[in-house]
Amino acid sequence: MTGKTIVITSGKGGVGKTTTTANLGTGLAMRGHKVLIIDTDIGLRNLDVVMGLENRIVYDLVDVIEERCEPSKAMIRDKHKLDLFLIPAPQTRDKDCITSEQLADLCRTLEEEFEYIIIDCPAGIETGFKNAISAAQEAIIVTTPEVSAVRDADRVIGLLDSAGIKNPGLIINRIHPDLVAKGDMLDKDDIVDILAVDILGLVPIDDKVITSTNQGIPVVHSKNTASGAAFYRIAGRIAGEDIPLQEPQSPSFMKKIKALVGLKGGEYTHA
Amino acid sequence: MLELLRWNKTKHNTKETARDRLKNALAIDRFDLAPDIIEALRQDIKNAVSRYMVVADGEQQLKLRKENESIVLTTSISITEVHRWANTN
Repeated sequence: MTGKTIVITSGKGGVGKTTTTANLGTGLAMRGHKVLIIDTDIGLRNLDVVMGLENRIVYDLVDVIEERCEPSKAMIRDKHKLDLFLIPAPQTRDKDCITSEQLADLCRTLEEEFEYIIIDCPAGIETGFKNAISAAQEAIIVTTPEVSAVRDADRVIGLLDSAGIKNPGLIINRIHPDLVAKGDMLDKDDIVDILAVDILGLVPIDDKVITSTNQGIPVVHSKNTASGAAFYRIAGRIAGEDIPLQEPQSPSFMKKIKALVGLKGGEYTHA
Repeated sequence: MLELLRWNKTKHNTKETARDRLKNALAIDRFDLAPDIIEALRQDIKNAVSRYMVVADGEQQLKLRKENESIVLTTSISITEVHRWANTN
């Protein structure tokens, strides 16, 4: 098997990079792919708690890089998906303790075993970012429809380009459909026009992201939620499936539709 | 009158403001060229000028700055002599 390594990056912190990584990794596994997620946010690890795996950590990424254990020893198997694994970041080291070559070598080796390696990149554009992007063949940029996040995304697109990663896919996260409808939020067309990259997915703002993260279960497990469905569709697009883009609708609109067809939407279920 | 105020309010889109401010900020950000590109441009300008004049050794200033709505490139090159004919070979 020759898999590929995709880095999830944003420049700006707090736009939902880790949540997106957890959901896309899980979504790909739900679609039948063998996936490894690597948390490269050394010193500030979070993917473990977002995925509900924080109590299972024994070894971490730096233990693997410094050859204190085999990669397979540091891989934590997901609670729900058999073909989904996480290599956590260490919490007590700093970002300079690994090099881009070491991370790239590790990914090349593990690509023989996994279809997709998803790297969660630290915020910022310093060492941690450079290490994370140099190991990847493809990149996904996460932004929110805010001037600060879009500006940082533009910077990151430029840096990815210099590093040889062309045509990153863009995910616009936390879209408020009612604000977009009122003309009070940058919409998909504005952002695509400004950044000139391909759009990979649109994710609406959704309280379910918070409640599911509280439980350590990525929201993509509940495909009947607006955000879960969006992440599941994006995972399909990453896997090369032809899934048309859906503009997020305001919840009131969704409720009306669901009432019309007699569904009780928005309930949290395990899938 | 009240109707008019309401009309004005719905007409005002903050996203237009966001988009314009963003485009403006990015125009400046993107002109923050990488040092190797600046160096290559400086060398190209020097080579072009050298066909017509003798360029003095030393610092050649090259700056990009924003002036009203456009970005302006300025450069200053010290010249010691002007060729009588363009040196095109």
